[in-house]
Amino acid sequence: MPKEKAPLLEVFYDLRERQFPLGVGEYVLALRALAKGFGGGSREELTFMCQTLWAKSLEEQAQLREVLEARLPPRLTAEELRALMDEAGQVAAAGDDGKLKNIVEQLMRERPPRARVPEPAGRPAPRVEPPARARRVVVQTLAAPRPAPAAAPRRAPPPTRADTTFDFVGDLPITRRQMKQGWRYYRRMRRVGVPSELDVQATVEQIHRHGVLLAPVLVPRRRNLARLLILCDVSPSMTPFRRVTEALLDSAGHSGLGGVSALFFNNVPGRVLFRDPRLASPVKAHEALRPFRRAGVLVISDGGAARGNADAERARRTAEFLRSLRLVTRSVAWLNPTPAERWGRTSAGAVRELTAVPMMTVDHAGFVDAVEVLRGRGR
Amino acid sequence: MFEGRYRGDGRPPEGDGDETHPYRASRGLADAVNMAIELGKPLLVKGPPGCGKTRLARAVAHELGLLRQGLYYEWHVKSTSRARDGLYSVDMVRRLYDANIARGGGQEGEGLRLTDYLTFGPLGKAIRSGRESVVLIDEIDKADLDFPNDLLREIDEKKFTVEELNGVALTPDEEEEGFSHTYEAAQPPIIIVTSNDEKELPDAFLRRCLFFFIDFPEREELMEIVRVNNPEYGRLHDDLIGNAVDRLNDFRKIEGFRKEPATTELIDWIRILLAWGVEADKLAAGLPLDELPGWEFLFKHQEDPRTVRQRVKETKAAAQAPAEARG
Repeated sequence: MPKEKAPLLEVFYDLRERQFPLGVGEYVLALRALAKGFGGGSREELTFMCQTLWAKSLEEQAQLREVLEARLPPRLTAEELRALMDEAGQVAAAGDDGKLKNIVEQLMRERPPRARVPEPAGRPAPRVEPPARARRVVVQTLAAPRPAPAAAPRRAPPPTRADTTFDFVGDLPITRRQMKQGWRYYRRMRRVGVPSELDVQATVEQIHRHGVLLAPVLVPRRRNLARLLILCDVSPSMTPFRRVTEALLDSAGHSGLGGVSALFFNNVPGRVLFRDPRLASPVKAHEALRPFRRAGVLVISDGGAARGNADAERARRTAEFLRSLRLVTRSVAWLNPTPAERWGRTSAGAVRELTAVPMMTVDHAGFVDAVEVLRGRGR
Repeated sequence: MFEGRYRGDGRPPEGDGDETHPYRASRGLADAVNMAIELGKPLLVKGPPGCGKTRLARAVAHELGLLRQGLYYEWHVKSTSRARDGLYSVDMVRRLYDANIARGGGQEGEGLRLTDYLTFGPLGKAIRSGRESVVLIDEIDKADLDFPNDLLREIDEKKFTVEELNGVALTPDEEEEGFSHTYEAAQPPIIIVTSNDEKELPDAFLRRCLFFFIDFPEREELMEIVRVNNPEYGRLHDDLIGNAVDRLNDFRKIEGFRKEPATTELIDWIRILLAWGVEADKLAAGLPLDELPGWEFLFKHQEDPRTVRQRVKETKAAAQAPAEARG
């Protein structure tokens, strides 16, 4: 039974809860760094070390700072820092990475993440399991919601702002990371462009046929030609969901797709769409949509479900637009950020009945389904 | 804090010449580089254009004395790059031709060694070198989404296998020339990866990297950058440089550029200003930006100066409006 302590383990658990893709290997890496003397100078240096090792973007660095601020005592004395480094040094001295991982896994079993209240009833459990790599360590509570204040942590952190209001990731029903992974499935690979790759099969066949090599057979590279148009509702009823829609737009832009565009509308998409979210530069819908033949179209709108109105006229106009849109491309999916229970009696529900466009909730499962529709797989 | 090997001041190790590399790294960046060296992990560097992401690797190689020994390798990733290109490539097409010619000439294609068609890429060379080295993987986000994932094993184990040589017995000659089926780094290369955030990198790759974000330099840092790039200026032109830096920051406050002016443009602009003999007060605060001498040199796209003129016009109009209202 190892006697070692595990420094920063609470921080590590907190980060995993916030969907940081960290495994035992990353924890071991931090131990090694601490043992070598990194991060031991001050609280700020410790924060910097954790940021460099565990955060992979500016947003993650900011989140990590919050977690550390909540977890570490407000003032770290030189002795406390030295104790932290000694603890790390003792563990790190145990041997190579493999051995160290075993020890750390043992430590994690002894000190599992804090107990947590069960999920509130009525909230549907996510249908899609978190990816396997995220569950490699024995931490069963990965998909659980944020800890309720009732669960007493080992060392109660002071009630800072970080604990109450500034939890950025915990609130999003789907994380940036899940979006990034989802977009990766939207692929239409085609060989286009200049022939540059040797087609071994065809070349061998040709040599076989002629008995001599005349010229190697070249083919173009495979590229992802999947195109995406996002039609985004920016009406006031969508304001509560702005953060998640912005994250969707932004992650699509960085997804490496063949082409990504966005057009905006207010409540109901109609003859006029807008190139900017402030609705300042209008374009005629039939002209703007023409380049998107056979592309994937993703509509993001509450469809009237946010306010709970059942506006028949709105539903009719929306359905009309969607029907015309489906003449341009069959791959149309609708992401509705309101809970599915709300759709039934509102215009969103009416739109669903009037058209063949599938409507999905904005969570991981819904997003995965939407990408399937964009791929032309239907539901 | 750990006293690392990389200080970030641009000076080579003692007894290795006295040429100072014109690159200054902040304390944080130097710490991140040292962490990457000590832990044997790649360092992923992001930041706005012109903040010095790409030039970091060469500066590190210089300070560690590796640049002079040729132990610095650059891999500029393109949209068509494949992971294997960085390790090695085999010119199969040429080999096919050569085999064909040899057979046409009545020979049986003997003496056509596969290794003659084998060339090594930057990462491959670094791993083969058997010594400590620095490898720059520049703009990794330009390549296909799967590109970083295809490098995971090489980054983890610091070794690679030439798959084309599987099942091929190497002659003693070839072995003497240093060819082998598998290469393993005696000392792990220091890998510095830059990304412009065009695409998101896969998690599996991110997990193996340390991360540092280089901010656009502050005023004093910018002035220092100008001076180290033009050591002959000394402190002579500090007034002009200071004003030019301030005006650059004014330009950068305007949004909507295709290419924001950054350090390179600033250095060029100041060289032009000095060549023209422009006085510092010609760049004083409050002057309309589109009347500054040579300001167009800060921009690379013809739309961008138009954006500036537009914005200056708007600012003037906004300044006049309240005056008229009062009058």
